[in-house]
Amino acid sequence: MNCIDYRRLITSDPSHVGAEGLRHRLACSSCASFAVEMQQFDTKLRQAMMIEPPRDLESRVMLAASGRSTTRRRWLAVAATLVLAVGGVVTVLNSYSLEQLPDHVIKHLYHEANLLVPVSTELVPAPRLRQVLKRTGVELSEDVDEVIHAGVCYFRGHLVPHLVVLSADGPVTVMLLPDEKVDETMPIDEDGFHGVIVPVKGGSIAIIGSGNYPEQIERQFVQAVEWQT
Amino acid sequence: MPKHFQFEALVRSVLPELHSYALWLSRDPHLAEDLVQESLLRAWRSLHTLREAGAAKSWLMMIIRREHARYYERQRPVPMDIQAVDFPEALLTHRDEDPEIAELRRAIFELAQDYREPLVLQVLLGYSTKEIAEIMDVSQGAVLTRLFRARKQLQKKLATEDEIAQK
Ligand SMILES: [Zn+2]
Ligand SMILES: [Zn+2]
Repeated sequence: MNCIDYRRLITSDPSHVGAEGLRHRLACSSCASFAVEMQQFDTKLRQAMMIEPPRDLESRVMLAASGRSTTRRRWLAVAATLVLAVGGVVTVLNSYSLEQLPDHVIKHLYHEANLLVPVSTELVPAPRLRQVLKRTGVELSEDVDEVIHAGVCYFRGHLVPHLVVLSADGPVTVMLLPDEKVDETMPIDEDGFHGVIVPVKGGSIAIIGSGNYPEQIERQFVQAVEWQT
Repeated sequence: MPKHFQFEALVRSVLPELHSYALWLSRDPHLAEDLVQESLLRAWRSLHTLREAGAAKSWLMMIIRREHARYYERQRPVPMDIQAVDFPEALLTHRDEDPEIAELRRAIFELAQDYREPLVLQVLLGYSTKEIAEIMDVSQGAVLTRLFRARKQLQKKLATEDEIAQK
């Protein structure tokens, strides 16, 4: 196999180049580095192709399967009664218990541990923040300061905004959770993380830092947040 | 295992990839949701015949593919790639912040359907070129050519955007 054939093959099918291709790769250093680049490109490609499903698609499918309405508007109207009526659906909508919420928040932080040590303190542009919030059905009635990361995360069955806010004591994680109804403030004190999950307007907000408790940030978000259900 | 638990497990395991496939196929978020929902409802009705998640995923993918083709037969006499389709900006917002990923997503979106689909089947759903040839009903050689051109086009597009960015 010559260089042209090898490169053509690896550009068409980077994961299956066969024995002959492998032999060429071992013998030809310039094709070997071409192959590495191509595989890195494919990793990015896969990342780009993965688009998270809308937050309520899974529950809509489950409800539709149980013989109910399939349209969005009706779903909202009947959801409350169905929770009581359909055994199978209860497990979908309530498959995450409230007691586990603080634990899941901590797990999520570890899952994205790179965010705990921000590489830059550059502020998230306002349009990007708006886009993240809009996509998850959350609104902020007032501007909030010092947001250095804004992402959409799949958390306990829903897409939610995951923000990192810079405070005097370092980065503070803020997760806005419209679908997590808590009755009273739940403290988080684990592995050096300090924070709370506070009930807000029928949903909740998780605020976690590793220094002094960021009261100022809590106040800001509790005041500004609006859920659009 | 009760049927709804079994179904729930299936939905969880296939939903992210199926939804992405439907989205890249249709380039229409609402249509993609409908296609996914429709295919999963059929899976619910034939759950007893779907033994494991891998086989179920292929079965669901084929339903999405067929329903999508049917939809266009009914709705649009004009070939899709001739029509101007706007990029749904929401697709760019994702958990990662890497601007290169966003550019790549835009470039994939702009690929011709004949190039985009085999690439998604290969990279996202993990099908071999032989399987893709069967799914799309073309020769394996044609699949290899399309995959080659698809990657070339994407890389070229990204390189050009880099140049523009540097100017
Ligand atoms: Zn070579
Ligand atoms: Zn997150």
